[in-house]
Amino acid sequence: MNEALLQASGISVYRNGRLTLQPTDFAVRAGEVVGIYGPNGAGKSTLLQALAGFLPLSSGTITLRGQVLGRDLTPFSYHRRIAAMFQEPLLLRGTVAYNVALGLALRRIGKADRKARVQAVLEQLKIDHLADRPIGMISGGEAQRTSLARALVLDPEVLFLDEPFAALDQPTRRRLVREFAELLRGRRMATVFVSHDFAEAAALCSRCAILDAGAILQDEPPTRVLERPGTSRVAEIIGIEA
Amino acid sequence: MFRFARSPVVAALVALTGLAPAAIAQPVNPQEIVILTTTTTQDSGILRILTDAFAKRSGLTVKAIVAGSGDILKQGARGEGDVLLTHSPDAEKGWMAEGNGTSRRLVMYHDFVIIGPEADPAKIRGLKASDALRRIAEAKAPFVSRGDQSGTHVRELAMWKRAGIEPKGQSWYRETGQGQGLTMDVASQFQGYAFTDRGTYLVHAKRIGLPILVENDSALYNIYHVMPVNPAKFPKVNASAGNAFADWVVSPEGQNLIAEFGKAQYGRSLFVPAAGMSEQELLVN
Amino acid sequence: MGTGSWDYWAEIGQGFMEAALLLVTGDPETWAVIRQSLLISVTATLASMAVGVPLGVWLASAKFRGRGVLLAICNTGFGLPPVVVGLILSILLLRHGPLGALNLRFTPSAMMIGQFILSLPIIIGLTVVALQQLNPKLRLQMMALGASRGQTLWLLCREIRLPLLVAYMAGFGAVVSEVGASQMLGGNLPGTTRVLTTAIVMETGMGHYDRAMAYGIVLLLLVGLVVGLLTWAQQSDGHR
Repeated sequence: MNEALLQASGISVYRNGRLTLQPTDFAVRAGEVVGIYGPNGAGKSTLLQALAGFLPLSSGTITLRGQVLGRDLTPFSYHRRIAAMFQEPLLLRGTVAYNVALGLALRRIGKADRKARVQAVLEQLKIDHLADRPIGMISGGEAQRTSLARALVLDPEVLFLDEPFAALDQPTRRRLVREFAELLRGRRMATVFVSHDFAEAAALCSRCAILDAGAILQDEPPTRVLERPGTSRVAEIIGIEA
Repeated sequence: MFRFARSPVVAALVALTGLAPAAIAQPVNPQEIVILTTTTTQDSGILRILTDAFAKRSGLTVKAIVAGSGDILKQGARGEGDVLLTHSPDAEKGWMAEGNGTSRRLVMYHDFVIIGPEADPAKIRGLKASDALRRIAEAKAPFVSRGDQSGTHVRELAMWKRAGIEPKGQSWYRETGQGQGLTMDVASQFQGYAFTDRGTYLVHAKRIGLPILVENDSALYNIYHVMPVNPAKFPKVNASAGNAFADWVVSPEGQNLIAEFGKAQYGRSLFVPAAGMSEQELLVN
Repeated sequence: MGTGSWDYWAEIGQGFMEAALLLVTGDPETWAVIRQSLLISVTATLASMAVGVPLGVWLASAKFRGRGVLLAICNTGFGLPPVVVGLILSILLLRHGPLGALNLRFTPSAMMIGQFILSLPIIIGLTVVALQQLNPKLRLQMMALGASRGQTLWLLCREIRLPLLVAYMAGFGAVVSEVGASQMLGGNLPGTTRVLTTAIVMETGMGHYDRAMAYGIVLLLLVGLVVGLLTWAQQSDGHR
């Protein structure tokens, strides 16, 4: 019942002449929000991109609902079942509504259907009043909401987020984290969330993987990690006295 | 590889292919004719008249390619045209001697003139060409030449040679490397002397402002010949079209057209139709 | 043959008026030249875009050994002398040459090929530059939204549509004002390969200043149009 939606076994990534990700196991279950936390250069983005199927693996497999990526599932079909959001909004020229509808348009969803779904998610993210605004005329926070809406509207099986709120100012970030936590509640998708703010990770994630130099040091609910950091290194990373 | 080429077997094969061409001469497009001719022919305006009329008469697509005399003869010597209309008799004779053409017939002639400033510092008005050039050299009067290996330029150099002068490199002798119009413009600029064909001169006369000082010297006749390219040497030549043009341009119809050209605009023919005459006859007159 | 006095301004002025007349009254020969110029250059540059833009998109993101070399070759294409291209191509197209059977010499097609070759490096180069202005993660984001290769190509081109317009204008401007290769490949034949530039050279040689000026005016207008569009594109690119 609670088996992993997304399972990575022994995956590693070789980049620029070094192993940026050591052979690692990683699993996410439906409805779970798993955080990836670590210092700069630990390989957080690499792990996320590897899980999302953007990087060639030098070992291991990734399985989505029992289908192996590369064997049972082409990268293209895999990418049609997930969605991702990054630190920068990465929006295209056009209106907010155009951007949010993009993924649906790519999947050739009909106009009426598109409109309805876009409207719903815009309301959820409180940017429905910006639907026809060109993206050059919205704030940073609004842009990230747009990027999030764009991903959520696709109803992906797995949602990948790479430090989505890092570039925003404190108050905006706090507000978005709160709203995002609400949004995730009750959804059946698996979420992988990379953060460089442990408090943020703690607030959103049911489980957090501590990453250092390409290896996962501890992978437990954030409260457990705080109570009992596995090694002094973990304690150092999360900023507490061991 | 070269040793192989000297073997008698290869020689025999080459000889055989030398005999075969006439049978296998295949123009790329029999409905097209490529006429190779010079910028002078185009600049005087007669080319358009001839090609339009011939296109109408024959129904062929006429492609008249224009370049300097030297270039035209070289293109013809590569079989890249079907018939040549040129006016460099000595070069043409050499070209024919190489076997590049099947016939060489006189079509028309016009004459060259020497133009210069009204004031005529070298005092050449009315003289024969050779004497005039000698005077120009003695007076070190500015002289502008085309210097572009065109038929006109070649003739100009021949005239200097006749006069016993070597003008190249002299301070008063300038070369433009360009066409007739531009060369005369430069001569006008320097109020100097220049060598030009009468036809092109008449077109630009008002603008140039340099009168004709030397003319009607048989040494100054510019004689045009028509030469169909040899299909035996170049298999891709459209021989029937080339011959058709050559025949037409010396026919009464073609000759009439030539005679009429320029009469309306300048009051006299710019070109004298002379098919059937020989060079010697012309030069004697 | 005397020479009347030649009033410079009167003659030039008259030439100018005759030029305007030729254009306005729709003189068939004049308009044939304009038509062929546009036909040949527009076709060649459109083909160049169709090939060059996808190549540029690929080149901008591909990672392989010879990439730098390929980019350098494209940039050399910017300075490629048109006459050299014309020369090489016309030699290949000679009747007795390797491509003689195609009978392309002195045809508009030969000119289109030449202009295609001339504009291609310009378009590839400018496409690469335009793409390098984009956020490198954008391609990743497109993939992450489920875009196929073709869809990604389309979306990226849409993002850089104004710089692409600039690239097109640059390519078109270069080939429409070129005379050397056009003369060699086309032969300046009336109705087919006579274009604005080759016609100007010929008419000037023949002393037909009215015609030469008419063509000159049209060429200037075309170039002006190109520059105008380029400027507009650059200005609007400021506001996203």
